[in-house]
Amino acid sequence: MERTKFCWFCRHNDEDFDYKNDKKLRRFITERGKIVPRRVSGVCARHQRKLKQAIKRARFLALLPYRAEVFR
Amino acid sequence: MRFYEVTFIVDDQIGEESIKAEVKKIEDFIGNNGGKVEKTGSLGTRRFAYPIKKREHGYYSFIQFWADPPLLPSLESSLRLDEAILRYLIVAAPKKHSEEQNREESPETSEER
Repeated sequence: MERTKFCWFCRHNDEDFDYKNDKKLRRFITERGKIVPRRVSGVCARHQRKLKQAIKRARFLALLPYRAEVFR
Repeated sequence: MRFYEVTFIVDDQIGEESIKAEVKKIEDFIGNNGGKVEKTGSLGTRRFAYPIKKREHGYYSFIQFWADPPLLPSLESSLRLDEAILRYLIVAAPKKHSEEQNREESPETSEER
């Protein structure tokens, strides 16, 4: 993921953190399934907290992986 | 009354009719126990990110509803005891959340019944 200066959610005025929308959440996890840190994604603290909650719920429902294999 | 959302995964090996009956059963449970179902939707059959009970895929459905907090433990136990439910998640959903979902209806979300 490219380093970004602006919080994606602030910029898009998006407050909808839906754990069922795994497509959107996938933008904020690495190919290994880890949550992308704020210093890389640029997400502000408030939105990162909500994002974290949504990703963890999605993981519980197997919509997102807890850990993913990287094939080379 | 508070606003909640329950998402659950139905074992898709029981057949389409049984899945529908299963969703209906949970809707009825909420309705018959002092809750009010606001919206029912589904994500369809999805492949899991990791196996659950040796299954690789399942049918995702969610119900948004109004209920008093005491309903939740009984709802939980009925979901837990149901063999066809592979997993469930009950969360307190903000009202705004549901209205937003009604507005931007995603293609895989079914209409309110």
